[in-house]
Amino acid sequence: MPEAIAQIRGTAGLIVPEIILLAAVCALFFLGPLMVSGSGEAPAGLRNRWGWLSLFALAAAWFVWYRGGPADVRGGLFQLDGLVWYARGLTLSTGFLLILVLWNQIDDSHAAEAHACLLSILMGANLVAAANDLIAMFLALELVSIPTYVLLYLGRRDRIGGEATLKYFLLSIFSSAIVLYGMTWVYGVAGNTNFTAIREILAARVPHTADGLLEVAFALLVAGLCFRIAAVPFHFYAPDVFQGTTASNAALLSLVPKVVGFVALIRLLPLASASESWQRLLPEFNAKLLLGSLAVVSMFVGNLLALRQKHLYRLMAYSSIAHAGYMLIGLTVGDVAPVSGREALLFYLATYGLMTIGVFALLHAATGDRPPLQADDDLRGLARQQPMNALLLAVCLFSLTGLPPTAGFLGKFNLFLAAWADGTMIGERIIGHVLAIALAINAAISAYYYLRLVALMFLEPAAQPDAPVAPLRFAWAPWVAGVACSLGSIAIFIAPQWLWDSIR
Amino acid sequence: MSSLLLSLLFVPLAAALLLLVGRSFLSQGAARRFALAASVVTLLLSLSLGNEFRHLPSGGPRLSPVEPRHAISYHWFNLNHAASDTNSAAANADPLNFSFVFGVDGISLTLIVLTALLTVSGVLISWEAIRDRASGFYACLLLLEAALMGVFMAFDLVLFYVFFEFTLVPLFFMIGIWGGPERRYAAIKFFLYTFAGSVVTLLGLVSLVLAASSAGIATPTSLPALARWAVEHPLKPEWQIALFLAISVGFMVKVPVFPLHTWLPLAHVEAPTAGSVMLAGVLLKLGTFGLLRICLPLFPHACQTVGVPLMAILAVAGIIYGSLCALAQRDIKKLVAYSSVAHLGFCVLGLFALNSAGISGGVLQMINHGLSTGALFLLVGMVYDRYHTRQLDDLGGLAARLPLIAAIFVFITMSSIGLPGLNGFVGEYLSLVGMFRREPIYAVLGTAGVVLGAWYMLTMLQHAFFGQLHEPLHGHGEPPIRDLTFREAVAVVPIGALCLWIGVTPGPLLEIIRPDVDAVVAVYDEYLPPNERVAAKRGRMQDAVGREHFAPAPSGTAFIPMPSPRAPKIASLPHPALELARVETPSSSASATRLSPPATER
Amino acid sequence: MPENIQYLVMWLIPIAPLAASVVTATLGPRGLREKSHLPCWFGLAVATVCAYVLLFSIVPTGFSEHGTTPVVASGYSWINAGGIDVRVDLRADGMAAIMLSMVTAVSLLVAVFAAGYMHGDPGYARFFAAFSLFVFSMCMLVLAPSFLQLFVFWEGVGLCSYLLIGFWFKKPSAAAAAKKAFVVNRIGDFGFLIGIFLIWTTFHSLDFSTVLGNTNQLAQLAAEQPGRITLICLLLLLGAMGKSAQFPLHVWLPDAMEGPTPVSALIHAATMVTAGVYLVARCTPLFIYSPTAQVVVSCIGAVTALIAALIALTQFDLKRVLAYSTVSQLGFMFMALGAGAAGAEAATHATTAAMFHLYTHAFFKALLFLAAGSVMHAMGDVIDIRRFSGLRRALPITHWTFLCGAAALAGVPLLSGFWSKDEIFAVVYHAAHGDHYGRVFCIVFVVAAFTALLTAFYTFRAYFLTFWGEERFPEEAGHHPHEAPPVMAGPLRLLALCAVVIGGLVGLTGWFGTFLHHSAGLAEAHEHGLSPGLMSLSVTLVAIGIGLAWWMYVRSPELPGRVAVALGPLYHASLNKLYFDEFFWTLLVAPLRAVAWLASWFDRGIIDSIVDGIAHIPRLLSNVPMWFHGGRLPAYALIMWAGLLACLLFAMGMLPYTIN
Repeated sequence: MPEAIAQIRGTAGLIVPEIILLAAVCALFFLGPLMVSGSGEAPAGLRNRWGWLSLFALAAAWFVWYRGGPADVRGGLFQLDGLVWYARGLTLSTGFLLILVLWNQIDDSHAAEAHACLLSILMGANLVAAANDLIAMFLALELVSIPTYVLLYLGRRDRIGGEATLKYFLLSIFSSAIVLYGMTWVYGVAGNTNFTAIREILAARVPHTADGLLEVAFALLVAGLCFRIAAVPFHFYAPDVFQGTTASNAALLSLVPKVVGFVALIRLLPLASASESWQRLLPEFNAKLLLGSLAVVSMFVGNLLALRQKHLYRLMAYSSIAHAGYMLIGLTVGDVAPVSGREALLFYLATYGLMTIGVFALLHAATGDRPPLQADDDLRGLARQQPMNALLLAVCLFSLTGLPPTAGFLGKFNLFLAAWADGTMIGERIIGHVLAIALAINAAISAYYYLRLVALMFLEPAAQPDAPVAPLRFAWAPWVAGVACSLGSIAIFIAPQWLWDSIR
Repeated sequence: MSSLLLSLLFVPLAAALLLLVGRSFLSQGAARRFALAASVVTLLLSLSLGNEFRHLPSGGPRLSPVEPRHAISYHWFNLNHAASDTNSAAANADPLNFSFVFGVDGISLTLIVLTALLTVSGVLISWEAIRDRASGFYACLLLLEAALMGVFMAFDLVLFYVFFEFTLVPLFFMIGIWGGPERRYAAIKFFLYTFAGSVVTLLGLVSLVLAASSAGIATPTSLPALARWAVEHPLKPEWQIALFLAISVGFMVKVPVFPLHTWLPLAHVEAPTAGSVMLAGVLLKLGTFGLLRICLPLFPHACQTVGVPLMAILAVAGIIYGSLCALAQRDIKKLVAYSSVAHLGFCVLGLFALNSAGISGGVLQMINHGLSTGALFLLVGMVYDRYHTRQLDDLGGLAARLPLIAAIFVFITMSSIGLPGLNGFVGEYLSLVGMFRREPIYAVLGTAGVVLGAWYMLTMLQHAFFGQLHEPLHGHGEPPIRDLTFREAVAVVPIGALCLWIGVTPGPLLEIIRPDVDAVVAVYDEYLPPNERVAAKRGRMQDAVGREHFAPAPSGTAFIPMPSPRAPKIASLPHPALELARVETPSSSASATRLSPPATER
Repeated sequence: MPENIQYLVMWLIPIAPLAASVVTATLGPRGLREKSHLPCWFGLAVATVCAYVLLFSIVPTGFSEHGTTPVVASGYSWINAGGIDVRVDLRADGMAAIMLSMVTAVSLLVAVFAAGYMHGDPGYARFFAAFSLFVFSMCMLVLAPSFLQLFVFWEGVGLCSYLLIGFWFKKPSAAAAAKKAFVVNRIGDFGFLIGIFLIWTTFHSLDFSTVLGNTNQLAQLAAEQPGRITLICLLLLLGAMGKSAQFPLHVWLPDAMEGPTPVSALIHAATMVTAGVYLVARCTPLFIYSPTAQVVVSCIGAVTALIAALIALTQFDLKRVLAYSTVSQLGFMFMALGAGAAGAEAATHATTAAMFHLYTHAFFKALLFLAAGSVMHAMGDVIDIRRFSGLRRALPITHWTFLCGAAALAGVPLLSGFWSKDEIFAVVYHAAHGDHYGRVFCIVFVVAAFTALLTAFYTFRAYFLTFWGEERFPEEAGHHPHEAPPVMAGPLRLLALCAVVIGGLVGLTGWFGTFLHHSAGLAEAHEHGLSPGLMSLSVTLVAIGIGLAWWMYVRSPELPGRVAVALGPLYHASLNKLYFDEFFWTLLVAPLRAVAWLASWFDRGIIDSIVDGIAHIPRLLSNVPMWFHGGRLPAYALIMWAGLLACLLFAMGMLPYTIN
């Protein structure tokens, strides 16, 4: 018995930040309804209280994470390594921004639940990184998915919102099933759920005995997790859901599932290909070809469709698909290259988080409590009415384009380096070069629609210059998040070394 | 020195940021005064940089064809690949270090001063013209200046590219917000076109950096290190050609080289005057500067085999085609824009002569075009401010109404069409003569552009300034048409003075850029691939023989390769041409009675 | 003379006009105003004095010696890059000194005249500033020690001509003429510039001393690469043709009449057009080695002389007659320049003859133009000789001086033109007997003789029409035309004196030929005496020409009309300048304009459309994926299934194109 307790304590010790978040989630879920009357009326400004509470909880978790520093523990259910440390840092840090964006988007009566869902999503994302067991991994993935459904529903309760939530719900369940199915194939081959054990078993087995089985697992895991990262052809939910939800949810959806998906892929794919790392993905060439094709198709489909979007959120959804394609390059290239694709991918995730959250935060900040900016025409003349917002938004958009001096440039630059440097065999080199060239072409294509938004804000007169503009209630929370994002993306460009150090 | 360099970057940057932040409470007057102060301070700083520069040691053996005379380096980041897989070969590879290297050499110094000067003029010319959101406008202008300073100071590939790209942003806003009626289309086209081009350049740069890195260069983005490496271990010819083509695409768009130039007339016509001045004066130089800084020293083989025919043909086509297009324009600004295509053709022609006459000419042509075309745009802007039209059909005989502007216009036109004694000629002459030495036919065709250039510019002058006075109707409320104001004079007269000064005594300028030009040329003298070394040797021997027979003048020494900084390599390689040339050096003195001691080449 | 003083004198020659120009330009419009001519006068006077000091100091010990070293006054290094070391120096030898003495003196006289002629013009200061600059450029051109410096001021002269021809810029015709002059000159400069490139690649130097001074080297090069020498010569010739208005680049010169008359005098006599002759004369050592180039020079000269004379026959604009006579006389000079194919000595003679004619022509042509200016001045700026006549009583000084000039131009015996033209006949005659292209030179000689006849005829046609016949004034002149004021009359008298005596002084003494020996690169030659046969021929031609003119325009004034009708198309061709302008227009200008328009259209319509089209491709392509995004959930799920299936097949290596 004490052994079991010790084991639990040991395991819990690995996930202290998540436990802190869990406590906050519990508190919010329990206390939240108490403050709201039966008819759903809540004291004005209640959301501020819950917001501060979750910010505080997050800060506590962040502090623990920060003090803990990178560690290397391999154990039972959970493990700690550099990736965990980085992924935690990423989710916790962007968590601040997401909370700020959520702040004014939720009405007082549902604020507690919304914040609780957000925190549990963050917690789930962290656990995905920390999981060292197929079961734990799957549970963590669901810990991300399920609160997302709720959050989507809470965010916007009209017909379009309902449709979006439903679409997301159904397709997400579908993808979860695929992932689960893939995991069972791994289990079927290895006979164990613990990663460490699976690795040992697979390494010890007679070579090439169960390759076919693992390949099925590989394909299923890729397909299932590509839903999370919104890669083509598993991306279909993204545009519809983005269009039908709030800025905060869109920001969340564009980043957190990507973090989750990529971290899970980084964890699971080597397992499914029975290798310690990316060096020997099995069957090496096909795996690369598969991931590379997904990358190229995602980039092109995302960018081409974004060209024609009038709806800003939908446009950002396609942009998110395209960025999934960019990041898949890092995954394809893996660790073999002199410049690590995996590291470039992780770097890109952080920069992408800043840019995309920044865009949504600023779009939100630009309207405050008025109807949100959604059609691109709403952006017309923004630079005249809200010059600072427009400027910051432009920084984020330029960052998405990949223009210096923003983090987006560095992100793309690293991917370029990684892709171009990839490979020792001629076939691999060709894949790497094709990926880099595709990235270049897509960077040029994507410049058009980002630039169009900038042009709308700065070069066009306001849509109705004479329309009486209701005095805008300054929404400080998303604005702070937006400022942090755009300045952050410039700061990362100027001083990227710490980010690299934390990735390693 | 270091702080001076950095201040050149940060003074305009900080001023721009202040203007941006203080946009809401700075009035138009305050904004423009502040911008003027900032740009003047930058100009003074750049001049004092020039002053300091004279005290730097210029000579001495060079380690690399591209070498700053003074540089500061800041660590940026390194891709120290600590793979989780320790078996990976990559784990043992050297870290890929990225740093900011700011430096200055003769070529960049001249361009820095040019940038600073044109920015002051840009502020002055926008004084009255920009009323709407003036603070933002000046912020863009200063941001552009900072970015340009950055490009010229960058001795690091990535840093170079960063600033190169960033120049797009402020100019995009300048054209798009404060431009003419079609400004949106022009701005977006300008941005996307040049961005698409430079993405290809980025691909090329990335593969170059990786190649250098895998060859064990610790700082594979540092230009001096790269150039030195490329000289010591020339890349495989096919690689050189591929990289050359990829990297030069972005530069060719920026120059712009025919047929990648169509964004330019549009951007010029729509840009506000200051935007045009900066675009023509400095921004276009980024392309040629990039070619000179990156392509010429790094890919000697490619430049010779592919570069010369390709670029020279395109340059000649640009000269003739640009001139013809200019001839057909009825909009003065568009005409001047097309003339830029032609003028930069001369510049490219000079650079790809790949000898020191041509490259000096190319560099000089960059500066000259910056001055004269910058001034032309200023003057066109002045006319536009007065009449709100630039159409030749609406204007005529303005010399009667605006005698001073007309006089300066004639002066600058003369400089632009390469009248000897003014700056344009020296650059054109050196470029053409350099190209003539390499491939006479291109130089001959290029020279035809001189005739066309005179034709279209003088036709424009004739229509706009001479003949019967013909002005657009003047509204009642508008102020009367005045000749050159003091502010405008301050903007344009220094440029005119520089045109004259460079035309009469280009010596100091040539002296400043000489070591850097010679260092690049030395690549072509000394470090040719073996199969070509034979041919070059033969060529040099012919030169030597020729000089023995014909040319006792001391000026022939240009064909003597630079004394090698790396003697061991030379010693290991038999280099008869070098020996021959060294024997040749003390050639007999001039036959004419020359009162001054014969000038020596170096 | 001490060297230092000599250098000072040499530098003063160009510097004084330059200083005058700068002073006038800066102080003129505000400060000097009516006195703007004073700096110019002073500067030119200084330059003239210095030019004569230089002239006499270069040959201090008599005319017989040969091989005086050119004097080089050092300046500064101008361009020094890439093995090109071009200095701005001054280099004077016999040829340069002679040229300078003519340039400065004539310019000074013209400047004095101009002060009267331009009086009251709003651009008075501008005029004298440009005028001084013109003389400065010309002096620097003549004193140039290298091809490049020569080219620099060659273009400088072009600029000044542009400024001065277009002086009355409000007249559209003046603006057009200025542009035409500049652009046509540029065509020549194109050749010159390429010639300079070729010289540099051939000799690795541009200094005259290196290129022209070393005869052994030249001979060797000519033996090895004769084509190259010919090419260089022809390219230089193209430059000279532009500047010296040779066929077919002569079209700018008659139009240059749009400038004020003193400018015409300056351009036609002293400064601009002589530059081309000077260039070819200067390069004689080079031309010696290319008989082909020489015969081309001569032929071009002959064609030019003949064509211009034919056109001059029918012009009614007095200045235009003079302009075409200039073109024609320049043709004579070129004929002479090319006639040295027989060898070094012949070349020296040829050059001497050309320079001699250049020299005398400068004086009488300046005189003629200034006299014509005086006529214009009196006639209220009317210059059409059909609108006035019989001016000899109203304008006596103008009449007499014009007569002197006309007689000299026509080649009336013992006047300047006679001596120099005679020398030209002599060298062409000798060339016709030479080994190289003798037949061609025979034709050239015949053309020269015929042209001399025409010259006498048209010169005196203009003279008789202007000054004889009944006294008629145009209404612009008012009722009482006034004779030139002293400031204008003085230069006229002086020039008339020169026109009368200078040829004799110089020609009879043979001073010119001996003097020119002191030019570097010219071989020593002995004067080949006067040839009575040629002289009598020329006298006969002149007599016939003048007689014919008298008969047609004084004796029976109705005759010209009848002749014109009889000749019909020929007459109209001459009247319309042989349709050269139209020819150029249809063959060169209009096609180029069309091509320019086409290029401009091509730029927008094709190249830019391609760019836009490429930019549009992504948009078109986006139709494909758009098709799958209908918003229907079952379709989404289906496609995801398909994707999953594809992934499976892919990973299992079951797709046909995967490589294992």
